[in-house]
Amino acid sequence: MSEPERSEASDGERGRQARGSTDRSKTEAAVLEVRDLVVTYGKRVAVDKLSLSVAAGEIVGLLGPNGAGKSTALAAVAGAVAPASGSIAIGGTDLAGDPLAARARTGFADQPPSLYDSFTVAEHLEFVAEARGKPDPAAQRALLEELGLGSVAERTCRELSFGMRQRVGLAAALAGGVDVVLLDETLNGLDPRAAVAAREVLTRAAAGGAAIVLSTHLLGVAERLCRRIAIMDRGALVVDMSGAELEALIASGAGAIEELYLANVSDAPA
Amino acid sequence: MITARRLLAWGDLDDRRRRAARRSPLARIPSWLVSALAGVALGAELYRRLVGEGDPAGALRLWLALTIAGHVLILFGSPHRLYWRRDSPLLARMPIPGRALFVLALVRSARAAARVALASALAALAFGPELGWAMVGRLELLVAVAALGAGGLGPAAALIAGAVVASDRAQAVLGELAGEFKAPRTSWLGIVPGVAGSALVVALVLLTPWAAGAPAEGARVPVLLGVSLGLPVLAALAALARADRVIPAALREVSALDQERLAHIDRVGASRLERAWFRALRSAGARLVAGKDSALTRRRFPSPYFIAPTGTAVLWLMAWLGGDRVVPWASVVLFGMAVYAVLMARRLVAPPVEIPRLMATLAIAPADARAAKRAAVVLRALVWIAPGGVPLALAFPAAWAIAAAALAVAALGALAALSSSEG
Repeated sequence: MSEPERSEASDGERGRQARGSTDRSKTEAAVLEVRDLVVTYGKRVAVDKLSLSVAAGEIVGLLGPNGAGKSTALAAVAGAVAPASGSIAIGGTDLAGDPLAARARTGFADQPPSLYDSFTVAEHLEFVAEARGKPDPAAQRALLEELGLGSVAERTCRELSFGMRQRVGLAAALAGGVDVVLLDETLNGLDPRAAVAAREVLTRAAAGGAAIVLSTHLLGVAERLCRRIAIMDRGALVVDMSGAELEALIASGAGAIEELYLANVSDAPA
Repeated sequence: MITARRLLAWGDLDDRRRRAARRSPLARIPSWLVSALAGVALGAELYRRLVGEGDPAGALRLWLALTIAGHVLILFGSPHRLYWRRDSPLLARMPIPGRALFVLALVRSARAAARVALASALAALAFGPELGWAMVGRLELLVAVAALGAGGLGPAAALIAGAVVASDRAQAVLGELAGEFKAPRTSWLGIVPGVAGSALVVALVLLTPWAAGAPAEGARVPVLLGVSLGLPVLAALAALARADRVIPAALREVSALDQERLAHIDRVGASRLERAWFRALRSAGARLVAGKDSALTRRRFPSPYFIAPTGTAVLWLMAWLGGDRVVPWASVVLFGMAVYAVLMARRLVAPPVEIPRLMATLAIAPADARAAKRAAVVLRALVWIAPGGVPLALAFPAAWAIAAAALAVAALGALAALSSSEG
């Protein structure tokens, strides 16, 4: 088999080093450690040597154009897609070496959410939490209430609207007290009240020590919820900004993240 | 407007891609080759019975039972080819002429019938050296009757059923006639093909003595042959003429009703027997998956939980009633249930019962998930075949081998189907 084609992002002019991320390779309290992750679909490189460390309590907004590799990267970290190379560690546990232990600490809400349609919402959560080895009916019930799903807990997933399915996906990702939460456009399609509830739940989860990576196209959500912004383009991480630098950018005025985004992503998909 | 030819080309492309996506090499074997191999294997078994055991009657009964079971299953699958395909909700919304959709179903039914007919026709050659090639010619004609019936009568019956489902007037009349026993609308998609399938079985059974060499009396056989060969063609042509008017409405109605039905499911879990069986699984992950699979299967595919006890009751009745022709008919029931067990095994590894992408992210070892599904198919094979097969075999010792073969088909076939689908 021939060497996979590299996207333009891997070429010299942009480089692999993401803007604002010079010393992120060894975050001390990192719960999620991704090193040189490469995912390919045939000859196409979907994720190109992605390195990302996320600490406990951190909420990372993962931005990027359609086809940038965000969903693939999250799926690979969740164990749903096999990487071509690179390493992924969850709380120090190597995903390839001990996948079950790593998965037990990871929650993933994919797009569209993978739900057992003939299960009720409560049953789906119960199954997922039990699979993670931490069933806690009271905590699951409380989570559903917090996300405004208490009234539909006994309805089958098939009967739910798009926004409700998104919320069930979010609840399933959080069920079982996971350390790493991966959300692939999970906050899209939520009504304003549900969006506020989801943000509060995620903020509390982060305060409780979870490391959260949220892929989204909603720049406003990223600005309000995330204390760190990572932008992917053509499979590579091109911006990784947090702390004072990000706060200063946001303080500089409305639309600052949008400008950062537009300045760093290419016009055409890979 | 899109034509049937283009629809077929798109459908074939989809099928090819789905097959190619499966990692198991078994899944990539062309279906006609599987049919041919099955035919050769059955032919070898028939030849063994003919020459080794000197039992031409037994060999003929086995061939007839499998020929009937195979073709009737194809006929029963017609509503699935017309209405219950995974792309039906999409097709129902597209501006596609009903005629094109019907031709599509007709071609797919004909292909499926041809694959079964290939196996039957090849197996029938085994009778030639011992019983003469004239008899083989008659058996091949019987195969043609079965294939035409399955391929032509099935889609026509499905169209009639769809018309009944979509017609409010028909529903009102049926509702008045049935009173409190009114069946759900979509049950007509089983009832009408069921009647057509019964007619096909009766025709084949009536023609069997002639095919086996009994002299034809008067015009009975030619008339029966003419009707059996002509009726499916006429039915298909008549259905084609009505397809533009019936199919779009029926497709929309069935898709909508199907979704509504699925939205109001019985929230049952694993049965007591299943729970007891799954307790033998060693790992908690396997038990969790087995419980999940059983609950979802019972909710989404409840019919096996009705068909299996019905089949068992039929076998008990046959064992109790006795008679010369019990064993071949019991074979049809047993092998029909065995084939159904194989078909149901595939449900365990695909949505909505399994979501591989979700399962891959959960802390459940793939080996545990596989163990859960294997335990389920083995239990199903035992429960579907043994309770009916054992009393039958006690009453008719000749049925021991048939029951054992049906059990083997149900268990090994289901395990192979699982393994093929899991890749």
